[in-house]
Amino acid sequence: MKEEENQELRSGSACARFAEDISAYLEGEDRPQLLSHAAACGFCQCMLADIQLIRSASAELMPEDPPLKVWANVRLALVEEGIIRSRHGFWRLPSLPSLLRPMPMAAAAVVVAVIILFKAPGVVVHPRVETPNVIHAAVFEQSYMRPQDLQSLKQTIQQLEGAYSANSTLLEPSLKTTYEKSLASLDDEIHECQAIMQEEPQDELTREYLSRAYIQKAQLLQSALDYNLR
Amino acid sequence: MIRDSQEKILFLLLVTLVPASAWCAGPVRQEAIFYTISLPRISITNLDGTVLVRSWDKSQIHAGYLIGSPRIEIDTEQIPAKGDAEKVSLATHLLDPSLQGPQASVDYTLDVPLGSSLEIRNSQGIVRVEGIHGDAWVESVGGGITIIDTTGEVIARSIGGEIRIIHPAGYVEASSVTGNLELMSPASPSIRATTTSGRILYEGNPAAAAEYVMSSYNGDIDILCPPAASFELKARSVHGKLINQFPRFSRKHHHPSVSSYGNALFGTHNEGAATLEVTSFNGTIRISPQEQHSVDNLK
Repeated sequence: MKEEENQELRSGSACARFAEDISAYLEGEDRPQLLSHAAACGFCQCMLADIQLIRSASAELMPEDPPLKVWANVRLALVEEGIIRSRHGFWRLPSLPSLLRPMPMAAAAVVVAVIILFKAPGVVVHPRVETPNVIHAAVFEQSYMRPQDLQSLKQTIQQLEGAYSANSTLLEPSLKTTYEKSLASLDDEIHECQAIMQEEPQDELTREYLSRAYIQKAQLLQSALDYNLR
Repeated sequence: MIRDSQEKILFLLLVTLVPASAWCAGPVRQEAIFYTISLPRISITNLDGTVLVRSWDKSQIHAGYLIGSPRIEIDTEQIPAKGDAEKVSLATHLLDPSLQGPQASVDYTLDVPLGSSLEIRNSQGIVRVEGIHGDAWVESVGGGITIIDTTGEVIARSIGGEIRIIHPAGYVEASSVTGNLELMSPASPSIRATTTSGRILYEGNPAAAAEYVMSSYNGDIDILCPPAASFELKARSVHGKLINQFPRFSRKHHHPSVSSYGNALFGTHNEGAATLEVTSFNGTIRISPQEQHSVDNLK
């Protein structure tokens, strides 16, 4: 009986309920089922922890314009999901509280991933190039990543891969082909670089390629999730 | 008798409604004009279809949309809402999210002020930008991107599509995972181009003091410069070949078989006014004298 309850808590429908309830919970409403599910589901637990971390950390941040792409993606996702029907312009950014209202799980994952990547130590953002895609700018500035940074990035990529796998069937076939081809190309690069790094751990050029491949893979998955939520 | 009449009515309805519904489902053309300041910011978000943006000398945007289905609308907004717009955003909005293929496509054709800055997302379609003096930021998943005769900063990114940047004069950043990159006759002070498995082609005479960085993983890199070009070259391919066809290249160092760097060439051509840094992991790097043909032919 207990096992059945645990299975129920880990099921996809429980994840969907979690996504529905999370904003109410964050706004202070009592949601015991949400906590039970988070305790049983690693992904949702991680999501909840991340959102709580973001919320608490954001309260301490100085007001600063976030990367435009983050808001654009979130807005696009919410509009296309039919959750909001806004005619706001691209440059009119939503407030943080509105970000924490009901949103699809993957949209939250995208935001989390962007923030994790943006905040990841070792990811340098060149201040001169103010592009909407901050991670993209970082790719070119990134020449060296410490092993612990790579590890952190790998964990982020694993989360993104999980979200991608769960949603990739929704992608249009031609788009899916493009993504999968590019992911395969990056995976080849990662595997080859990893193999070389095992033999020559001090090979900085290979480490540079490996770092860049990881960042590009994170971007790619993020992009696929963005598109999925259109 | 009654049944005959019913059948005739049904037949007439079919004859009139089927073509009407087919017509309704076809592409729809719309136009809009926005009066702007001379340096407006323009954002276009599209899913599929072509986005063509050209500059003109008017302080207004003329936007034409060829919409693949009546179940698509174009969300438009200008800021400020009245008077000359400083910002204009156009976004494809699928009223029916199940639309796919040509039915989900919108072709945008825009004439915009010369000083416009652009931000374009077109997931699956081609983007072409011509003659803009402001900055251009363009992103696509599978579509090709062509940017011609720009003077501002250019950031172009396509995951699987080809990126062609012709005659840019500002900073250029181009990246793709599997797509090819072409950089033709740039006058830019700085270029950064990177691809994983696509090919990179650079053709031109590097501007004095310019710094061009090109990097690929599996893709080949071709550098074509005129014999009079003045540049310092730092080229290395870890596992690929390095082929230099410049006859008068003063080589500072040439290590054809050094294991840690593969094939490397560090040298100066003429005075070495510009810097070209070219790196590939597995691809072949070729440095060749430029053939005499007009870049205009490539447009």
